[in-house]
Amino acid sequence: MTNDKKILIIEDELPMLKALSDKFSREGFSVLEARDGREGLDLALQTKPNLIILDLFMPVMDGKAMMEKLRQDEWGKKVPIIILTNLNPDDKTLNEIMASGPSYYFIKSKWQLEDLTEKVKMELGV
Amino acid sequence: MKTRINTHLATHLKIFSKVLAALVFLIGFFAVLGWQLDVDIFKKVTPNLPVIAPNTAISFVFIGLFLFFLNWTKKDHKLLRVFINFFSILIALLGLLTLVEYIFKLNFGIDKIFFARKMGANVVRMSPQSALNFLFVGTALSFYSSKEKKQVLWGQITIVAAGITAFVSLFGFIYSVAGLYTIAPYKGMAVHTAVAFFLTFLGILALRPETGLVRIFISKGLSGMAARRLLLALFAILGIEIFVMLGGKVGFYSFSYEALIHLLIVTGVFIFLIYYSFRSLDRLAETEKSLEHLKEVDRAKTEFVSIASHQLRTPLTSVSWFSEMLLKREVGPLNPKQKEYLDEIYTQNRRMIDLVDDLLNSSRIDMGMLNIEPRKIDLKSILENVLEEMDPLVREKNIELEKNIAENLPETETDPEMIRIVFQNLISNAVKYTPESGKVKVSLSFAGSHLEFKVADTGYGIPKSQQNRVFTKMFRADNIRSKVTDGTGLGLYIARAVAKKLRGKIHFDSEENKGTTFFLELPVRFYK
Repeated sequence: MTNDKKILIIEDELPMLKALSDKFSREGFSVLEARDGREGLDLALQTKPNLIILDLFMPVMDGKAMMEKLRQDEWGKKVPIIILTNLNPDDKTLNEIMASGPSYYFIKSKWQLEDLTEKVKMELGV
Repeated sequence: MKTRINTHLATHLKIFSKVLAALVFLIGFFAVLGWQLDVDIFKKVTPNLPVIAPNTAISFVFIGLFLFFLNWTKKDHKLLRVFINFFSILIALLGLLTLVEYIFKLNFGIDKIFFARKMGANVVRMSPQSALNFLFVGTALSFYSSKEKKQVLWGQITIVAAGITAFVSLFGFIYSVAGLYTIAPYKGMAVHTAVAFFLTFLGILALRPETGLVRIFISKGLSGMAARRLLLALFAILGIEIFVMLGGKVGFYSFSYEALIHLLIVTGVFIFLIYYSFRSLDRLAETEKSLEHLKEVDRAKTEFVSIASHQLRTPLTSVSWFSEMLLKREVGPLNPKQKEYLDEIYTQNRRMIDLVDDLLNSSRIDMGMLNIEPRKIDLKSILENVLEEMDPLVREKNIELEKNIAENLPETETDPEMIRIVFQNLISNAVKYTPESGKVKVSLSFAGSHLEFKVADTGYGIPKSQQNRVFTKMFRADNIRSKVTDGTGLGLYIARAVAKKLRGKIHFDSEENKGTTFFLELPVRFYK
């Protein structure tokens, strides 16, 4: 069931990172991990993954700042991003972030991991 | 830190500005009428005062219109602004050219643009002060046609210059000092010209009170209060002085008495000001300080709640994800007991997540931290979104969910996050307290003055004797305590408190063992 798609997961909470990383590895993706926005940005520009899963609240550089930086890059402009958050869909901050062009947002505490997997697969056509 | 402003006052000032614009327009209009129909009283008010020049009259008609239209709508009409900018520059140019005519003793013939035949050989040229003032007013209006704050500030500085000239001329008339409204050997400013300039000056300043020089007068803090009171005192002195002067003219008292009365009045106003105003300053300063402190505490509370919510949700979510993967047998088969226990872990964990949400919401309510930010929203999509989120629970209990959302709902102004909380709690309440294979009907419709949201279930119902306690915090009815164990008694409390904040009303009909219907009435427009 392996495919040739690379996913970069940027999440500062280790248990969540592990859950996501395990899940997507089992689904056949090659998974790259980063623990904050700065590390994630460097890794993204170096390895050019097919999709980025990005947490919002992180130390060093948060998800919003990282996305702004990434969008300045020619390649980074087009890479699909899925936002991980616990904000409500109507939250103002989330609306602002969604305006700068990530593909989806995923509410961590409300939705199942399965929903996220579906979204990723749909986005990458797997 | 920028001071906050009293928006009420700002609105009033803008209306005041419109009234002044209308007056300026009328003065210009009647002066033009005076020229057209040869009505002397419209041209010079009293026989021995200077005549208003045709150029002056026409300019005031336009100035009145521009002042009004700059203030007309909140929407931005770019074309209108360009138009006003262009003609304002023309007015400024008219003033400038007339000044040049005076200084270099030239004649460009611009005084005969209007009413040349009516004037005949007696060409009336606007006074040098009027020319200077039109230069100022035209420039100011041109600055105002821009939306930028810096430009508006320049406009204000320019108009203050015009205001000073107008003020001096106006008081020249009131005090009959011809030297103040004429510059020998030329004829002076007409009296209605002076009045119109003064009104224009006030009108332009009142147009954008939230910026630049005027802001201090409508600011909310101590500085604003002091500024307003001093301004009021100034107006009081000016008003009373005029009466005292008139009294002297009529001969009620001699000159030295008059001087004494002036002195007494100024002293009186100042003493009144000291007692009325500055005594309360200390008290106000105290209040400001404690307000500042309260805000600090509030910020800390908000921060605590949001950090707690983040910290609690993170581990709960991890548990949820790991048990989800185990339950889907992604890492190997489960025996029936393992599956049963894991199901329990998963369900209880979800329950904890909901509980955290409820507790956070109710503590936000208790601390008065519900921030209502109404805006125009699509109510239908919010409701559909909530229903979608509820889907797993609905399917799990095999509940038949019927939704009935009216087409063409009016555009609604409310807080989207808050109304979502109300929808969520009312619907989940119905689903939770309806036994398996029951029915829940959700409808949203427009009822003339308000929107009506309805959730009807075929659930356990609320016993008559306990119906008055339904919205009490932590209340759970006797008949469902043993049937539904995962309720917190917070949902309806939250729903009603939040609905109230949105100016909505919640009520219900219920019969035990038949079901309950909750109604929410929500205004289409949020009102303060």
